[in-house]
Amino acid sequence: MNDQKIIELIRSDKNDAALNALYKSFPLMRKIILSKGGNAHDAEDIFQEALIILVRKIKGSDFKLTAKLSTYLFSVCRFLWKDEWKKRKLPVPYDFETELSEAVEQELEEAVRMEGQWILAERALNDLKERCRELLLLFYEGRLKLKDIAVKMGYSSESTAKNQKYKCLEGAKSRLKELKQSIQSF
Amino acid sequence: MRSELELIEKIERYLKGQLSATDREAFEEQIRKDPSLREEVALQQEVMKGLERAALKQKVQQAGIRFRRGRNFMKWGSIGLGVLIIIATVTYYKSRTDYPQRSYEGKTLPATNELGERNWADGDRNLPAQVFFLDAGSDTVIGTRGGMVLSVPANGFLDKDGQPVKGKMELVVKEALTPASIIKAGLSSRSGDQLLESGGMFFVDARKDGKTLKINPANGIYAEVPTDTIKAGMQLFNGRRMPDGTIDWVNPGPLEHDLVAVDIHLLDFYPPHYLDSVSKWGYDARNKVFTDSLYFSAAAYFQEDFPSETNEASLREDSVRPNDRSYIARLNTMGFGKCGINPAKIKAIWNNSFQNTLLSTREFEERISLIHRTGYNRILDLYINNLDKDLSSIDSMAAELESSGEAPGKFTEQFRAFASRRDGKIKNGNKQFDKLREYYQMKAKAFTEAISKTQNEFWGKQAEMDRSATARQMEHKMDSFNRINKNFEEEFSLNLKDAYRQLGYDTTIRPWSWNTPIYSVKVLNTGWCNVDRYVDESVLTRTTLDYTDPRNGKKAVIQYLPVSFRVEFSKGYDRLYVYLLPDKLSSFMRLGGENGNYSEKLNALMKYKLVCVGYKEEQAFFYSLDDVLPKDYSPIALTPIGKDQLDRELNKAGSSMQGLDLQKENSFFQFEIKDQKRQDKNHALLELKEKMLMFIFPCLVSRNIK
Repeated sequence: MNDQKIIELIRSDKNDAALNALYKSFPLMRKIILSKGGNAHDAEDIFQEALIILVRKIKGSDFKLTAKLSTYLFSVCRFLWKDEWKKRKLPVPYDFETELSEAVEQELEEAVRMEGQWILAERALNDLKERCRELLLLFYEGRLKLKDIAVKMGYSSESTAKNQKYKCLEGAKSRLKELKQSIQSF
Repeated sequence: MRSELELIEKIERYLKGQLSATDREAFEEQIRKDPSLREEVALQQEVMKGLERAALKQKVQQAGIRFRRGRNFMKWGSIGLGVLIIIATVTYYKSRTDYPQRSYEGKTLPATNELGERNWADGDRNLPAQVFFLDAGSDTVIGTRGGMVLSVPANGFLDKDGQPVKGKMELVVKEALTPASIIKAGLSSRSGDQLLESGGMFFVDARKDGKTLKINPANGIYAEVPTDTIKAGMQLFNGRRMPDGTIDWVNPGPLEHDLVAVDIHLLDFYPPHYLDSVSKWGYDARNKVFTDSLYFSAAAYFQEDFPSETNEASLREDSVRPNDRSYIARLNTMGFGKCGINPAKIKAIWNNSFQNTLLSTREFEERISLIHRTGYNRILDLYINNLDKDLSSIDSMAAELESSGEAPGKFTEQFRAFASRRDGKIKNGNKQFDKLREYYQMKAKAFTEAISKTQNEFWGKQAEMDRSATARQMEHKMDSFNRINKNFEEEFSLNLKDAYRQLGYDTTIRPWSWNTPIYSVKVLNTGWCNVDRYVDESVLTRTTLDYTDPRNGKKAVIQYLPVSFRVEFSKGYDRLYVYLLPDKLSSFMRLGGENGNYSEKLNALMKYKLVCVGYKEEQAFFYSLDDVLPKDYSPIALTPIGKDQLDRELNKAGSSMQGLDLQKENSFFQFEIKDQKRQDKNHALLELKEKMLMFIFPCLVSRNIK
């Protein structure tokens, strides 16, 4: 599958096929990360995080392909493990040369930084009750109608589901607020 | 819908751009003015981002599972990659032409090879060159496309006169690390007539201005070849180009197996199976703060100058109670020393100070598991005191030490097996061995003392709290007892007074009260005392008094009429209390009952109020009713109430005395609920610690089995 096709798939919300294609770069990234002192677990975490960031980047309106997608993916992985290695106080390995331009590199680094901000919100959602999380994901990401969600999840009516949805959202917000405060207080 | 939810809905519509232009402007104006609204909007926006992320993560993880499942897929993946690397390399090197002194270009080779000869092998021709430019005067680490890492020390290369090279130089790498790329490159893995199992092949050449350089034999350059599994017996062969274009591999030499440092916090230094057991016991094994504090707390057993409350009896006991620290302290000092690894020692090494040392390796993680099983502290000390040595030589020392002890030999073979793996040390690791040694000795001791002190303080404080809880319970019992007596006395005199009134007696005479000092006299005639006794009995049994004076035929009737209540969902409360507050008595009556059914008999001379208080954990629930009538009430539903609000309600529920008494009783119950929680927690903690001991003291386990 060529890169242009992958980009088309992502932009038309067919993430699964696109991710299958992108995942083919995993063995190489894995090898590299292992050689830098990471373990298999790190490799998978870093690679998956890089996929999330790249998919988001491609979805953005300002994305222009100037090199192979695997090169982008590799570059994002590199930023991620540099951060990770710094966190662990391990020596940061020598940099690689890349065919991406300085400006694109900066953009990617920025994307990595931005994504880091949403991790907290994701944690807040993970702390919700499973049912709440499912409801929110179905509605906002699954794009299901409230009517269908009510049937699927066994709510008595559409308005109950709606009310429940806002309650869950409220729960997520207050959890996020707590998390933020607990971070500040350290 | 609640107003907060309505706000969330509005913010959502705003974020989605669904508000009309006027509404939007008004809302934006509001946001500008109100910082708390601004925060709400920002939070909600972040939550939506988090949702996007969570959904995407799900998809990515599913793709990962699909990827691992398809084995054929994987093979294709790696072949596809081989091609990828080459394409990337070619395009990359074509785009960079600003280095005129480049000797290798893709697959184009210079006239002579690294030895100055004109022969090249197929492998040279078929593999693209990766060219790195580096400053010969400084230490450099480079990573190749295939994942090899080369580290080149400063002045690592010599020119033809044997002088160190200075300035920009060219380092060329060709690599074929996977079987597929080895075959594609036309490389063979033969050494004479023998077939080799290849862990990867690579070619390194160094040049300056096109002239070949030699590796400085004093330093050497250091190459790491990535592999998923370490296989025993791998050796490094040198390649000799044969006239037919193949390479013969000659002069095998052993590989140095250097260790790779990983984040020490990713390693598991706990005793084997500790984490599994913690989660089996129903605790969160992923909560490192919890598992740490549980495990490290056992360091208290290693405090050497433990106050000697030891007696011979405690040594003979079959089971060890966690509080029986003297027993274990004794075991440790009685020359057993091999009974268990002091958790404080583990705490002293399992932190950032030992990052990037021998200890922060997967290889040491394997050792520590065995060290725990020996329970021999001196073996652990051995590893930490020899951080500058090869891991395998410490393994040999450990085998030696283990075999020379009092109960020798059990683990000697296993240490020897470790030694035979020839694990080395970390390249470029932390070199402050003396400082680390000092740190370890100081911290291990300090942690033992500190933990022992906190443990003593904690349990001392708990014992203190147990004592004060018992005192409060006693006091409450006394209060309840006095209250019941007082109620009885008051109700008795009220009834008696009324009975006298009905019988036409003079009520200005004060009848005896049953708890004032009395002389016991034989009373022969009926009269005052008789009525007293009937009233007394009627109050005691709460049955209607119906008395006819035998002398004048007058009747005295005091009615007791039944009332009953049922509390809804009574099973849902941990505690449920139902009170009646009589208007003519100074205190309240607590009703007995079960399954939410309560009944009592009401004295017709008084009016009653009903108060119900329930607790679910620490949440209180409340209900009250004025003017209770003698009848069966329909089910009562309690509503949740805050603690302060409850106090206020109780305060105004009856007369001031009743309010105070109720509050006092209630605050005792609240205390009791909290204290029960504390006691349950301590109990669970003690049980947990007892279970944990077998991990810390392997020798105890074997003794118990025996």
